[in-house]
Amino acid sequence: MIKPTPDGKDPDPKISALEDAMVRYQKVLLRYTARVLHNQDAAQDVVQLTFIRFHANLEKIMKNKIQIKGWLFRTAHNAAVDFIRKESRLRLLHFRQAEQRPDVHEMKSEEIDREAVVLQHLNVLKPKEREVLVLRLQEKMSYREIAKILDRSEGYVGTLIHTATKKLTQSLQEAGVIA
Amino acid sequence: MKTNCTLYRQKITAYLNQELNKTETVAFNTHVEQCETCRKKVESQREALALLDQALKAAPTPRASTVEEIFAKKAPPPRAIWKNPQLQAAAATLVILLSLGFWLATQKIERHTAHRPTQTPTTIRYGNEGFVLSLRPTQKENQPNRYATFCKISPTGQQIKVELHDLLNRTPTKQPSIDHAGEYQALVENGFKPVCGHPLSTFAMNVDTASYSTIRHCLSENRRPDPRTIRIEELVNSFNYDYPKPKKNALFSIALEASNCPWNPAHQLVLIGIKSKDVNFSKAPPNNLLFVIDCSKSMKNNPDRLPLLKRALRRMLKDMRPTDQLGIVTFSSPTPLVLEPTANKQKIIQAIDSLQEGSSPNHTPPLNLAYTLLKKTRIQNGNNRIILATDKAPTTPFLTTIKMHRKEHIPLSVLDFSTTKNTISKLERFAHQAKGKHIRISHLLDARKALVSEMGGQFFTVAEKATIQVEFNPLYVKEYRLIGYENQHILTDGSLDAGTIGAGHTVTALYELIPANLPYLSNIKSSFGDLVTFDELMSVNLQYKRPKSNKTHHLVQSIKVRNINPTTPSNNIRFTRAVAEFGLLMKNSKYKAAANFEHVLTDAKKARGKDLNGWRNDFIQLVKKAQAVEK
Repeated sequence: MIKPTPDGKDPDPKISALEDAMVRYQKVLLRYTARVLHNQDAAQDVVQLTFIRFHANLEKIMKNKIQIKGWLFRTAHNAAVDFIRKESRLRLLHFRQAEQRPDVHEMKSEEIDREAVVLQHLNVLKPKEREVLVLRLQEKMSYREIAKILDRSEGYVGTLIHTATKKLTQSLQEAGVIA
Repeated sequence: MKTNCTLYRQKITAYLNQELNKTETVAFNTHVEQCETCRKKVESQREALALLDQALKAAPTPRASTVEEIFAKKAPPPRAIWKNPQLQAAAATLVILLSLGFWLATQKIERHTAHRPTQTPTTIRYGNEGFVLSLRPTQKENQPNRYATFCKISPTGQQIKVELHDLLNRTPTKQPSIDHAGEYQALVENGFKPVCGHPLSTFAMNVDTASYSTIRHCLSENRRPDPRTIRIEELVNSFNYDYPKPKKNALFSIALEASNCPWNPAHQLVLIGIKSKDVNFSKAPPNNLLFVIDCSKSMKNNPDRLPLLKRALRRMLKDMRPTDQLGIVTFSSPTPLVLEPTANKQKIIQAIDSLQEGSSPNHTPPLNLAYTLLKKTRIQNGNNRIILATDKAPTTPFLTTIKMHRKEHIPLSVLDFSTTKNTISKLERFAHQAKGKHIRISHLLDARKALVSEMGGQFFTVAEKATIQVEFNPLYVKEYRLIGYENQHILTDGSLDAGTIGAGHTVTALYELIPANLPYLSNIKSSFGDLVTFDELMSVNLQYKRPKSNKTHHLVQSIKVRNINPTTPSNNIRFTRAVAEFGLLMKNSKYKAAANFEHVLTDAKKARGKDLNGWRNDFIQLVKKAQAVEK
């Protein structure tokens, strides 16, 4: 990924490392944060912040040979958590969730797009429940990898995924989306 | 098989996610084949997950940013907040702020490539005018320059440190006149120093307490003490404060507190309180110590003899328990008895302060007197002991006195201030004959050690070369002034001998701060995210060496901006600031601003607390006295 600069000078290794990481992981991170935060702009901000932090901590990461993907996910997770906490957004988030709680009756109509409905149901879950499901299904991560990102034990992740799946299944069943 | 079902149902998700091991999977499969309800549950979950997977794949993702965008990261605009009708009033204000933010953010920020990737701070150019914010991301804790520094780039490319106000193109708000002169001169008061340019402030951890006695002495004679003799840090450190004990395994604890400044409402005060590990007196029996002090010329005129002993005694009082007694006898012939053994600390401190030069020493009478006194006030099962402090060799009548009183089993220890070999060996033999210890004193720490061990406590040297380095966050602090500690500064070459710190040592320092009140703080915050430490007001870095070791240790503590507490100050800071204000008044300091005795009295009275030693009460009396003398 190292491109020669127009003036022929050696490129800054830090910049090229950043570019490399962005090409590889930006889409994945955006996908992940967008689902967790349920907010496209916020996801973009969080990912940008993640890469700024990546750039600032690059030497440490290289020196300690930290796995880049895991580090990025974990930083994005932390930034997302910060975002949710910041400026009492948590309250607003609940507020918004209440607003968007899927209307069960409306959804029984045949024409609705099943995928959109599932996403709506996903967004009713708690952020951390949503997060583990996204990491598991979308990013195909093992329980261990998820545990590292959340900085929790594997057992905790297992329980969380279990509750989340149960909640989701139940709410989909109630809505009649699945049998 | 109901229990089995619950057990397996807990495992459905793990099964679907293939997180079960082989045996578990086999068992699960067998169960599901048999159990209809469980099978249904598995199927519905499987369907839900499959649907979700599908939905996630189809869900839209936000647009990816480019590297340039990352560096030009804008302030995240407030989002959902607009939807809340309650916040709409606040929104109007925010719009104004935000437009300001946009103005700043749209100034193109271009990254300045670092030359030395390990050391150079991230530098961000701000607009075309050559302003640079030189940002140091929070580094390792023990390194100085924890906070961002702000520079301006000159036409020649040099970085010049500037005030944030200038950087943001705003005239600074008017502040009281500032005197930077005499920063390092002894006895000239510390002035205010700008944080930009002087981000670090350092002082040594050993502080004396002599100045308080001086004030006391002068005021008792109804005259105003000479302002030059008043050392505010000595006044402040004359009192006991209630700092947290060092945690297990730690040698020091640091207490930080911020409050408003009573003598200047525009300023703030920060208290730094440091405590070293305590002396262990847990099992010591009650003490009855009788000091026989040689106040001859040679003792009095050498600062390492009588004055040093006085300091050590004053320090020892802090360790004295209510059951302990202390008496003083001097060598002066007309009135050898200075203080009968007592537990009243106020009386003791008065006696120590009044120790004066006596006439020619005649060793016999005071020693006889000492034995009689101790016999009279003897504490059963206690540590009854005579302590002789002298720098002269014992005379023959001296030895006979000891022999006379040998049966009373009162040990006599010698604090030896002499320097000649002959005297030392004679005093050593003498102490041996008197069943006591012989301790040579050439240093304050020796004296403290000796006194503590005579009291039956365990004394140990905690650290050497302990200095305190304070760093202020320029985002919140514009200028600072260390109150007192005029002769304590470490110069740029770090040449100050910081001395040795013993157990149970506490140091208190006060800083007066001029807050920065920066405009656009929220903008800087959003533009630089976590590159700058935003939530800290200041940090304290205590550096020390363990005895006989060359390694420097660090202990860092910081105080958050949100912990500035103007309304409910603790007794610690309340009393400290009362003492400091009193010091400013007695010193007639040019920084005293609106200081007055009423403030001092209110603060001191409110902060009296339990006041076990009666010292705070004594201070209040002293302030009243000073008020009267001033009039």
